[in-house]
Formats: sequence, structure tokens, C-alpha cells
Amino acid sequence: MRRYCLAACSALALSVGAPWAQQRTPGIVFEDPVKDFGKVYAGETLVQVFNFSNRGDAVLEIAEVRPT
Amino acid sequence: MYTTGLSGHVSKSIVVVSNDPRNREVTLQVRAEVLPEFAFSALGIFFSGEPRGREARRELTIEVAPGRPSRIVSVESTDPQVKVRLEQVPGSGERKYRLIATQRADAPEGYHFGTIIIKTTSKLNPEIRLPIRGLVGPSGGQ
Repeated sequence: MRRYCLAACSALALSVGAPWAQQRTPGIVFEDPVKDFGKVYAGETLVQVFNFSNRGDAVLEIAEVRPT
Repeated sequence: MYTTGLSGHVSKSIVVVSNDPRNREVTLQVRAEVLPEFAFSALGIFFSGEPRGREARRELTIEVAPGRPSRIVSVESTDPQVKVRLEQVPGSGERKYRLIATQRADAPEGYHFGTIIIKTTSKLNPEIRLPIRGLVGPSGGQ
């Protein structure tokens, strides 16, 4: 009986998220966050693609992209 | 990044906000050194206080950046009080030009304004505009 009770408590703890369990998080990593075009002539349009990946273990969500 | 109107060292940043708790905000950056394709010796043509009845003349030089295949095709003035013409600097091989602006002798007293429209063969800068500002003073034996 005691053994059944322990198993049930463990299952309940896992289902609600045990405090000692590792939290799953996303991890955003950009290949190259800085691009230097060097010398260019005025009037040129400079285009750069920034590649990134999710190295974490949860879904990565991009909330906003804003130029400054 | 659009570089029209920019010059010198330029950098622009982009902030990416995500749900990554260790990198809520990542800053991306693009940098460049923007060079003029056409270098001007002055930012415009300015006449100041020449008396009415006397023709006035101003000049500026335009130089095409080394290695650029562009040429200047034509110049025109939208200011009826100012005529403009273009001369190639001899020996420069269509790389250096002299723009000569002449304020008419019969221009009326007061201010006048306009634009010089420079047409080029450049795909980056097919048309360049420079301001003309002028003030004609009173005529008479001054």
C-alpha cells in the first residue's frame, strides 16, 4: 500500500512540474550577429541575412524584431 | 540598409526579442564605410548680394570616384535666374568636371531659389540635385 502511494505521489509531482526538475528553455543562437560590408558607394542597398537556430529544448518564439 | 544620403562610417542595429530567458534581446549590427560616388567641392551654388545689372558666376567641381564607370550626362537649372553648364577638366578622362553657374545680369532684385539637376550614367545615383540660392542687390553705381 505504501509503495502504491509513493508511486502515485511521484506521478502527481511530475505531472504538475516538480520544483527540482530542470526547466526546458529555448536557446537562440545567431551564426554571425555582426556584418561589416566594408567600403560601399552611396546609393547601394545592403542586404544581409542573419541565420539563427534554436539550441534549446523548448519552442523558440520571436516576439519582436525592431531596428534601432 | 539604404545608403543614399549617408557618408562615412555607418552602423545600424536590429534588436531581436525572444522567449529565450538567457538572451531576451539579441542585438544584430550591420556596418559599412559609405563613400561618395561623386565628390562635390561645394554643397550648392550660392550668390550673395551681387548688384542687379551685373552678371555673377560661381563654379564647383565634381569628381567621379576612382574605379567607378559613371559619367555626368547633363546639368540643368530650375532657377530661371541662373544658367548652368558643364565642362570636363582637360586630361581627367571624364572623371572630373567643372560646373559653372551664371546669375543673369537682368535678374530682378531680391531672393531667388532653385535646383541644379545633374543627370549621370550611374545606376546608384542617376540624378543628383544641388540647391541654388541667390540674392540680387539694388542696381546703380555701387
